[in-house]
Amino acid sequence: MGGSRLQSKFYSHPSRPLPGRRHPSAPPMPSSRAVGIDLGTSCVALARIDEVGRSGMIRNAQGDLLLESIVYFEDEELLFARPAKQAAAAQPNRAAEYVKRDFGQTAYSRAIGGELLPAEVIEACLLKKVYGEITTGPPGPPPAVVLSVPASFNQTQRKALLDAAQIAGLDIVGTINDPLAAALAFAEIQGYLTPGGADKPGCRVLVFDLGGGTLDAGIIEIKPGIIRALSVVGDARLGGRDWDLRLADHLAEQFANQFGEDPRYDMKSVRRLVENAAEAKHTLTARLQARVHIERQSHSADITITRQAFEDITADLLARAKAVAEAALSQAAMAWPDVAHLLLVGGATRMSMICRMLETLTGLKGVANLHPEEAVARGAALRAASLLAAREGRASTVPLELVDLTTHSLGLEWSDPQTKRSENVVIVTRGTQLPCGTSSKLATTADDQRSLTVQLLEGESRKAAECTRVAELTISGLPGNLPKGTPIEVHYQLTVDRRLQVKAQLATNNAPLSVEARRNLGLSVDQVNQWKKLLASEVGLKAVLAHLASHKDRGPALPVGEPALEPPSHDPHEPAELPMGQLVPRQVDFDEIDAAIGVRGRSRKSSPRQMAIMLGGYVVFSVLGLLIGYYILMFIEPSYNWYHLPLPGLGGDPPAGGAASTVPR
Amino acid sequence: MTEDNTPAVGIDLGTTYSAVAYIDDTGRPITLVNAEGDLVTPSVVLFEGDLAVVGKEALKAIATEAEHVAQCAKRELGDRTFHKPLLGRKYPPEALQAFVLNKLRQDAARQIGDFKKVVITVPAYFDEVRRKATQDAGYMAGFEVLDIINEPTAAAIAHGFLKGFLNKQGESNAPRKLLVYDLGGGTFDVTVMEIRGNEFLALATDGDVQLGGQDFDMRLVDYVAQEFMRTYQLDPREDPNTAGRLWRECEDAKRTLSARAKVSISCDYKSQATRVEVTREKFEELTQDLLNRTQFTTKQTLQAAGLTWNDLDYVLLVGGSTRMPMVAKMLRQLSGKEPDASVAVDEAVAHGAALHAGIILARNRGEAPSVVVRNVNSHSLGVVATDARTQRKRNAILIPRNTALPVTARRVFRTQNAGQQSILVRIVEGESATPADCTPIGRCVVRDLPRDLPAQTPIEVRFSYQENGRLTVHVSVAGTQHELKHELARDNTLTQEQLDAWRLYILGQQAEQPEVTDDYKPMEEGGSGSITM
Repeated sequence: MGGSRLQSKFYSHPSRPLPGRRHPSAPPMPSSRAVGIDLGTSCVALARIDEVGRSGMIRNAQGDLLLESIVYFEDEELLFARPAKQAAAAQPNRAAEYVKRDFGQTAYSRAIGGELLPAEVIEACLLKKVYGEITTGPPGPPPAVVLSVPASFNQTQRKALLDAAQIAGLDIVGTINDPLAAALAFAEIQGYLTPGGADKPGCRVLVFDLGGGTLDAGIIEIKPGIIRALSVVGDARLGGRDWDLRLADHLAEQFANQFGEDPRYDMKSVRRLVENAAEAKHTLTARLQARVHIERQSHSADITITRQAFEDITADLLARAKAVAEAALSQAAMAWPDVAHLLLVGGATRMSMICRMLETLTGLKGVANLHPEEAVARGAALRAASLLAAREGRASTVPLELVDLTTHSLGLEWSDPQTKRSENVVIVTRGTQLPCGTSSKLATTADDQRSLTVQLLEGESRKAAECTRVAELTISGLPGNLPKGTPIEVHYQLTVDRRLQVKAQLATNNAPLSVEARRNLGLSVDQVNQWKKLLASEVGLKAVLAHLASHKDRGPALPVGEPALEPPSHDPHEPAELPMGQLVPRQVDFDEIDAAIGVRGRSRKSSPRQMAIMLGGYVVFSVLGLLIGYYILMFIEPSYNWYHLPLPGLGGDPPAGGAASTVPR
Repeated sequence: MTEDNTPAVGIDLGTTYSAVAYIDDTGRPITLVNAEGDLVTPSVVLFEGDLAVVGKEALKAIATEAEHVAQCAKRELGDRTFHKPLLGRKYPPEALQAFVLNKLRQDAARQIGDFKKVVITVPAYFDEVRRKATQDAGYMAGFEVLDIINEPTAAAIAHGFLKGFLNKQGESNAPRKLLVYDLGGGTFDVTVMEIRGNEFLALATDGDVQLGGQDFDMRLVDYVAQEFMRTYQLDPREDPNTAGRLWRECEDAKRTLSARAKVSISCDYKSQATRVEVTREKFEELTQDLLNRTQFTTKQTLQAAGLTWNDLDYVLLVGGSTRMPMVAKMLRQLSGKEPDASVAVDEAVAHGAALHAGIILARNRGEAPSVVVRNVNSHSLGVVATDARTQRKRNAILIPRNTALPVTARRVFRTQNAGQQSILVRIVEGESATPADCTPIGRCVVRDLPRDLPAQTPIEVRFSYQENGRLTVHVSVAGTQHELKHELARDNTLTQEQLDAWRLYILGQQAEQPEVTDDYKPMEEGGSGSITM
């Protein structure tokens, strides 16, 4: 059987290392501890590298390849995946799912046990559980983990994901973007990673990753030894979940039309509704129609939905997805014939409307032997193996360089002295190759200034208010008696992992200055450590709530702009204390209708002043309307001028008893 | 296409779930994921208009369109038609199995390219009739079936490979004896095997074709339904869709109970709803008798092999249902050994089948086989003869069960009457001495005997039973040139034309569905002559 090479290289993970035959051309490798985790919005998948250097999926004790990303908070313990789903059917208010969508916000959008929990903590519990499953077994060195991150995640969201990993106690050797991970897994299948693939010609692929909560797309060039992103775009708020919710809405409306009761008003039935809608969505991939059973209180119905109807009600979502694919192409400045393969990643790409849209757009069908739910985890594991080799000073099986692109522009906030408006001055544009560096020049605004602050922003808009605040840089240690306008140079360095390093120096003599960076959002180092300590043991909802309560009152955050009293640490990643009052407002999402609060939508309280203005406006306009009407009436029939108003443009009193018609002869 | 490129593929065609594995270029068996991303595919077929939908979606449809769904067709192999018509049409069970195999083939081909040669597994307890039906199913799905092997043997091969029995270094290993406990979705098998170096010998096998994980599900369904009836006096099992939904919930609950200590199952019917909480203890209590049946059969089989628990080296767990903690606990207590699940329980059989396919392909290429497999027959084969003394029909066994294959056995009978013109040889399968309790598997007639044949003329009947379960019968009458060689075709078989018609239909090359008739072509009617022992 030697010599021939089969097309696909999918391996399920054997639970013991195999004796006997190995791949003839691979150098002997120790049993690798490289692990890749794809912490998806709806499912978690794990992969590891076997002793031959090939990726394989890890399954849990029940034999599942994918675990649902859902956490259920019992009082004394936490449940995950399928048992959590089961328990959530009875008590939805104790379950947290699709938590990844809330990274970057202050907390998971729904209160659990009456309190808002940070999304990082919930995901950390999930990570800890799946990590625990891979570390059971024969003891050895702990696994080295690479986490995959959606390309469309910004700095705050990335930090939240990394914090979650840290709270869970994982040893993260690096991160990788989802599209690059998928391309890496594809490269393995195509044979680019073996020494025999060293002279394969390169190819360009379109990675279309439509997961549960996010959409990433990118054109990636694969060559032996290097995988380079040519474009990376995404929509962080578009995923399979949105199709579920749209279908659930449609079904609920049909149910309401039939019975007058809307299943969305009850937390339990809305949960079941969305679950059934998700299953119907899967069914519509294999069949042309699906029947969904909905019940609420005393009514139940089987509602049929056809594939065509489903496509009609989600046409706008499809259009958004298409726009992302087209943006990927235009950012790479290429044409579709240049793209050789289409990589469909993420369970939602199984929907026939997605495949059809992409085939019409690109002329390609998805590569058959790349599995949508496995690709990212496998790629992350492969990346872990090469990073581990670098860390341990070994040569990897095949040296692999990854070139990534930024997906958000990084900028500085600048206050226009004349208009007093805050603007975003971009210093690293979106689509810049990573790693990259840039520098900017600042100047002191007063004599004898000892420190200055710079606000880092992320976003494409020119208006600072529309961008996300990333971190505040405090540059201190300026020598005394410097005149106003002294130039200072600041150097920014972004690594492949999108870690930001900042250095500052006086422009005149290159004397280094201290820089302290405080993140605007997210958990502080202390908080992360405290949560980590708490989660080190088995906890349930009670312990979590107790921890929250005991850590609520802390000292006020260090005010911005004051000179540091001691030399600050030079670690630019030092996150900030959670500042008060700088919360990013949240949209209410369909499935977060909280029966406990009992309010659907928002009620807007108007101030009395606003009411008065509105009322006054009504009065004015109604009087004006009446006058105009009267005026027109006079034109038509002057005899109706009962009030004898002296209106301009009309004659005086009409002739008495005149004929109704005044049409001149 | 050169021989080298033919992938070695094995298929575990289970009652409830099927799996496909192949041998990769390093010689390892790898399970192939299906189009939905799962390692196992439900063996369920849904008929919707002209479409046949197989797998998870068909399984889900049990909750909404139960009457169009066919499941557990494997249990009905040997019957002429599936117990219920689907969309008004009747289907032979092997055709339903062929639909499942077709989907498995298509999903696998997307990853490893087109392939035809495959090994399919069957429960060790399957008789000749069912094995042929499985082979027919493979043919109708477009396969060239290399072999039909027993599931426990396949599992043992997979374990043997993992533990290094199959390396080519040729180390002589001490013979290992193992017991394979295979509790799948629909069938239960237990086999005691001996592995000597690279020889796999089956010592004894037994099982129950009507016992599997589904029966454990049904106990939960019944329990929940009874609780429901207690509260509302309505039986949710009356409506097939509700019953289907309830069954799916109970199956999920059963799996959860393997990880958690309790679970709550919701049931709603006719706008009444209830939630029933079930603990693991309660579940084990409800299904204790099922477990005991397997325990009893296991003990018996060990005895039939002439071994004690101490003689065994391994106790292997195969089949998804062995994930239930009570199974491992029972076996641990029974055998004093820790049950071995080092090969994933729902992939082991497919892996073993793939390894076996690899062996056969290697053999066809002229390489020496690295594994030798010897099966035993699971049922005794005999001939119906009249006892000379009692004048009653008896089953005269030629090949007793648990005989290693291949085997040839002969026995001499005598004609009953003088001047007998024809002899009817009826072949039956079973242990009982009473032919009525055995399964008839074929008959053949020797005709036109010389007129003056005296009574008590010796007739020699020779059975030649191959590894693959094919039985050939030779009948020779002493003193004459009359000899009859008859290769057994069962009464209920589909004819070759019918098989071809189904194959074209299932592969989508023909739109017309073949005719299905309830009656079958009766075999040669026996003459007046019968034989005596």
